Parts: sequence; structure tokens; C-alpha cells
Amino acid sequence: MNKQLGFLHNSEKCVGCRGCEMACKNLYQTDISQRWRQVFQIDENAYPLPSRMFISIGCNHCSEPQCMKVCPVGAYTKRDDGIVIHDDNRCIGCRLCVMACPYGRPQFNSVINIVQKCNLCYQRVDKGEKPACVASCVAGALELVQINSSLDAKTGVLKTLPGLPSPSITNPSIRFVGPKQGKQVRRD
Amino acid sequence: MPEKHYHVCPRNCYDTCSIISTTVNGVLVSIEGNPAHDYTKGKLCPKAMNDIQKVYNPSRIRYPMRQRQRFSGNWERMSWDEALDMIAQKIIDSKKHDGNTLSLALNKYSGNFGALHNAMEWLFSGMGPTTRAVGSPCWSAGVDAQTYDFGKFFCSEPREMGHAKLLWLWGVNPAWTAVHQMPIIFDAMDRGSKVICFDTYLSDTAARSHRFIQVKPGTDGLLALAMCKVLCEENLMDDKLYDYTLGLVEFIDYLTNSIDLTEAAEITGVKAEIIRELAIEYGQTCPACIWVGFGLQRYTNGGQTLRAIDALGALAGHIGEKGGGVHYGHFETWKFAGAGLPEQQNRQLNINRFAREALACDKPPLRVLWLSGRNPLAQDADLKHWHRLIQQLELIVINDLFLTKSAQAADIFLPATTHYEHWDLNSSYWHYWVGINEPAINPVGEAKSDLEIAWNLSAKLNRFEKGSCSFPTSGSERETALKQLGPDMLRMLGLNTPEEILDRPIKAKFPPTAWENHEFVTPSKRYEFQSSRALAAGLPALPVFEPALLPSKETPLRLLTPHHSMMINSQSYQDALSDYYDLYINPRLLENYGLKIGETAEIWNEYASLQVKVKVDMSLPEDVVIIYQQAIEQRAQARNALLNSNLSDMGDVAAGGKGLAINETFVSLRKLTPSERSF
Repeated sequence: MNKQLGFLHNSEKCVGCRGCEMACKNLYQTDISQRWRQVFQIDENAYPLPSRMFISIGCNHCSEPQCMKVCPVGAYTKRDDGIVIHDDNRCIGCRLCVMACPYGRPQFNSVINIVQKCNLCYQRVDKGEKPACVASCVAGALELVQINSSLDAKTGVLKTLPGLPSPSITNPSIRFVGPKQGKQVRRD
Repeated sequence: MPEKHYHVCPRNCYDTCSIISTTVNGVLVSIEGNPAHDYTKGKLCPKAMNDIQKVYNPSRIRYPMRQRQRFSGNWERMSWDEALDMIAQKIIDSKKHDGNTLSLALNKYSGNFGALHNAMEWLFSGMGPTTRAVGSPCWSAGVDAQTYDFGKFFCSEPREMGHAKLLWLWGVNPAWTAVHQMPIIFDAMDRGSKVICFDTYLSDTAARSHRFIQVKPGTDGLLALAMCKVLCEENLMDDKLYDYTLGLVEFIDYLTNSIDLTEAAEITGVKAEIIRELAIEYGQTCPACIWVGFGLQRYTNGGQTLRAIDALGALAGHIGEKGGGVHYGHFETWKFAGAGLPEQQNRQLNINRFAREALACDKPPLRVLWLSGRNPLAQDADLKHWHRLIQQLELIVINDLFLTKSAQAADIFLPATTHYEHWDLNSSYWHYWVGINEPAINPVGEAKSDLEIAWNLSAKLNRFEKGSCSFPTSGSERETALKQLGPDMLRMLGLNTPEEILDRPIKAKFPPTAWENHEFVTPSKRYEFQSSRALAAGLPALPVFEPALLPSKETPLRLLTPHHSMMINSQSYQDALSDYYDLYINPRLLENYGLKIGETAEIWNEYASLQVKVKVDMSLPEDVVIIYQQAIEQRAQARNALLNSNLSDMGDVAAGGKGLAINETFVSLRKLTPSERSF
């Protein structure tokens, strides 16, 4: 497979507004329990000064998707462009994928008793549009990119951030531009 | 077939986004930003993106209801006819009893800022002189301060900020409260502009700035005056100041005689050499822009703080500069035509002390209270006064979407429509856009727009007693919305007919830079360091430092309650509400009080006590604690129980009344024994 779509998240620009989370919910009108995309604050202890930095994570459409590996009914497929699709109609709700994903992205929906996850808005992508989360980002912190060696060769592009599982488990299709800290003149 | 409609987000928010909705077979299915808007650029915030959940929320109230006993929660469905009969009868009876209509009170504010939500005010004006909540809980001190300095309250187009080489964000957290400003700030940073954030705590915006300056709460005005003094000492003042300002000599005298850098450093918590360094950089960089938020004027010296910051901008010659200036907000695009009703001699009560002042009213006392776009029991100070007032009132009506904390006190609940179900017209207090809001779906349940409620009640009143309300009894919502664009507004927007706004939102044709040619509208037509209007209002003529209230021994911690990114005041957009607030404190405070992270503790003062979960914020000083504005479950005690109605120093001249000095709330903290903890 030579194509792999994925996300580039810029923690310098992400203000943690959760617009991406809610854009996804707005488009798919998902159940309250579902957060296919989710914004997390990066562990403050990882940096020398107090920080207010965030990462936004949907499905990472991994090169080696563990969800697909463990699914007993073949509900998962990986497209040629790298998007990992979950087929709601095949899913039996066994939740093996929920346990297998180190990022907690497949989520069990107890209303309809199946697992659901981000399918990278493949219907939009096929029409040449951006996924809802990317299109909604006010600060321009989230991009849809091709994950390849030339991206990884760019200065400042990181494969992981403090607090995330090791990328060696699934080889996730997400890259980061790490947070930068300003000078703080504090009263302490 | 999917249909598209235009909307404007009506929340009390800087951004006032232009929205396009999609409906299928009369059902709202999704919303998106309108790309034809150069400020919001087709993007929305998470609050708006939860709108469909809000519109069809199972807990939304769909029918008029009555509660036989207040706070009982025993609501019964009633028809609109019954509800309006009851209200109209009570109004007529009260009027007969008192011989006037002053016992009828309206307390309305910003639950929905659309122009047609003034219908409630029109309805009351139609009845005669009534009692009204006036002023604002928010920005009053700053509005008056800028009115004294510039002549009116106005600021540059917000995208102009992108031209600044030096950008000071002072007590403002756009990352959470004006998210569309962030790309403008980031783009400026990418082009090499320097961004400095002044605040009392490390906000999300401060964390993304080049430099964060932590100021002791309530001392920002002194910091600005100290920097003014440095500008004088270093000879960094605009050399044309004598041409366009008034009172410069007096102001410099004041700085020379009354401001001492060492003392200012002590009081503000910012070292003297840093004050000097900042002032010199501000004086030497062009263009340099300051954006002042609303938080730093919510003090008893808030107006003076804003006047001091304006003076700093003026002294350095940054007022009227492209990409410079002191941004705060504006009200220029809000000149709606209204309903053409006569001005009444209303009994005006400050919205921030409404209950206190209402209790003092007699001849006649308040009998009927109508709450619209308001949730005072979850937001206002003086809760004890509120509860006494509720006991005195003979009828409480609320129109809203949900059973809010305040609705628990009501006798009658009238279901309101959302901005997807009615016509409206909306302006921003930040950017220059004005937009029409179309209905996309039929009202949910039996909900009615404020305008329709006002027409219907007027019809009832006139049926009971002819001539008892001069507000129309019917009409067209669409025409009423378009009529709000009178000749002034049409000229401002460059339109020939109001109908043109149906095609797209329109941006007012103002020059993008405020006070470009130093054409101020003060009495002297100059920038007024020395304001005769301030003097006439009983204030010092010059911007001066007056200390804010300080914590006492009994209540040593200042409680700040900044806005949260998922919330506007008590309007919540979270799916699941918590039973308690998180209290953020300095880690050393945690140690001093023997507390653990996540432990339940109590904060209290003379007004109330509140159990909270303790969390740590490394950036907080030891004398400041934070509860972010978050909605909690109805059964839980709301944080406003801790508030007293201290007022800001300014607000009477242009804002309708003084603001609430909410940042002067002090509390004590206590560890609880396991048996004392409620959660």
C-alpha cells in the first residue's frame, strides 16, 4: 500500500475549543456517549512550565490496525487510501476492537449495541471535500495529509507526544507539530 | 430535497457567527458556518455545533405550563389561551389596584441577542410605565470609560489586529471566548508579530502567546499608569498629542506626582524593570494594538482600569493608528428601528441589584415579574434578596427553552423558539456584520417566538380592556425583522432596501480603523485624558488608580469565575452535567490546607457555602482560586450564591447602569471530614 491518508495536528495552533469534536457530532448526530473525535489536554508535567496544550484524536487509520486484526466478523476493512472503515451492519458488538485499540477510538454505543468509530468522512473525501473535523477547525490546527517519508522528514513533525501510547503498536497515521512555550512572568 | 437557510448565532458572544442550516422534510439535520462572512469564515464553535441537540432535546419544554407551588416541580400543561388569560388578568387587576402599571416588571438580558427579542420590551412599553432591569452584568464600566475618553464606544474592525507588530491581549481569552480571532492572531504571529498576554491566570490564550505577564487582580489600571509614566520619562509620547488631546499636562502631572514605579511593581506583582521594558517596547513599536477583555473591568475600579489603558494607547500615539488602537467592543451596528412606541417613564432598577432594589420599591410594590433571556437564580448576586423578592411577587412568568434554575421559581412557563424557528436580525458587538435569521423549521411543539408571545398577550390585554396595550396584536415576523433596518442602518450597511439583507449577511461600511483621523466625539472633540463628563458623573476627571477590594483575613481567597469554552453564562452545551464544581487552586494551597487532588472541600463566605472538588492549576497565585463558568445539575447549589452585588465604578452614562464587580468575590477554603462531604 503506497497511499496512507492521515491527520497532521498542530498543538501550537489548537486552542482546545473542541470544535472538531462537535463538528463530527453535528454531522453524524451521534449518541451522547460517542466521541469519535476527542480533544485531550497534554500532560502538563511533560513540560517545564504550566501549559495549556491539547491534542485532537479521531481514528488514526493505523497502518497496522489492531481493531481490524481482532475483529471476528470482518467488520473492518482498510481502503487503498489507508482509511480504516468500520461496517456497522457487520458489527456484532463484541467489543474486542474497543479493547484492542490503544487510543480508545472504537466506541461501544449501548443504544444500538454495536461499536462505532470515525470513518474519516470517506463519503466527503471521495467527493474531494475535507472531513468535517478538518473543515471546522477555526484555528487551522488539523489537516488531512498523506502520511509518507517526506512528511516525516520535515522539521518539527513528530510521531508522538507525551502521554500517547507508543506508535510502534499500530503505526498510527497521525503526526504532530509539537507545542512551543512562551516566556511566563508569573507571580511565584 | 435538502433545503438551506441562513441563521445568525444569537448568543452573547463576540463572534456572532453566520450559520447555514440544512433541513430535510422540515427536520433540521446539520448546520455549518457561512463562508461568505469574512470574520467567521464558514467555521463555527462547539457551542453552535450542538444546536441540533438543543433544538430537539427531550428536556426542551414544548408546551406552556403552570406550577401550582413554586419550587415544587409539579408542573401542569396548559394551553396558550389559559396561560395568556392568567397573565393578562393579573396585569389588568394589578393596574386597577394600583392605578398604574409600575408593579409590572421585566427583567430581560442576553439569552438571545436578536433584535426581535426586544419584543418583550415593546410589549411592556405598550402597557405604560413599568419597572425594568437596566444596564448590563457585563461590560458597563468599560463602555463608560471609552465613552469618556473617545466620546463613544467604538473599536476597529477586528481583522485589523492582524496588522499589529505588537499585540497585547489584556485580560482577554479569545481561545475560549472569541475563537475566530485566534487565526487572525496566529497569522500575525506567523508574520513575525509579537503577542503578549496580560492576565491573572495562565489562560489558553496566554499559553499560546510569546509572553505571559501575570498581574494581580484589580491592579491592571495601575500597571497601565506606571507604563504611562515610563513613556513620559523615556520621551516616547506621540509628539502631536497637543493637537488632538485634552488634559495632557494635567495627566502628566498626575503621573509625575502620584505614580511610583517601585510602588506600582509591589501592587501589581510585575517587576519595575519589566514594566519599563514593556512600556518601552510598546512606545517604540508601530503599529501596536491592545485588546482589552471584559474581565478586568469587573471590579470596583474597572472603569478607571479601562481609562488608564486607553490613556496608555493615546500617550504612545497608537489611537487611530492602522493596526493599533485599544479594542474593547462597539455598539454601532445595533441601531435597530424598534417598534415606534413612546418612551415611558419607567422605574429603572440596576440589573445587577435588581432584587435588592425591587424589594425597596413601594407605591406600588412589584407584583408581576417577567423573566426573558435571563437566569438570575443561577447567575445573579444577592440570592437572599432574590428569594425574598420571589416570596413577595404575585406572579412570575418566564419564557425560555428549558426548565432553568430560575424557572423553578416561576408560576407560568412559556416555551420559546430557537433561532432555527423564528425570524430575527442580529448584530455583533465585535465585528461589523449584520445578518438576517430565517426560520428553517416549524416551532418545536407549541413554542412561540418572543414577538408572537408579545402580540398574543397584547391581543388578550386589549380584549380584556380596550386600549390597555398599544403594542400591535398581530403582524408578520419577517416584516418586523426587516423593519428593524431603518434609514440609519440601511445607510450604514450600504443597502437600498431592507430586503437585500435576505440574500446574505452584510458588513457595515465603517472605515476599518477606529478614530483614524483623530476625530473624536467627546465634548471637546479631542481625546480626553481629562473628562468633564466624568467629573460631572462624580468621578475623577483623569484616569487614576483606585485600589480594588482586597481579600480579608476571614476570606483570604479571591474567587474568579472566567468563561468556559463550552459555556456562555448559564447556557450549557455539555451533554452530561456534573453535580459539583471543580475548584482550581495553587499546589501550595493544596498542601497548606492538607487537601488532596479530587478531594471534596468547602468554600464559603458570609453569603453562602459551597462544596467543590479540588483541582490543581500550577499557574495560579496563592490568593486566587478559580471556578470556571460551568452549568451544573439543578439540584446542586449554584456558585452565584457566593456573590454580593458590589458595583463597578462606571456604567451610568452610556451603559444604562453600573456593572457587577464580580471579580471581587472572596471566599475561605476548608477541608471537610468524610461525614461532612456530600459527594
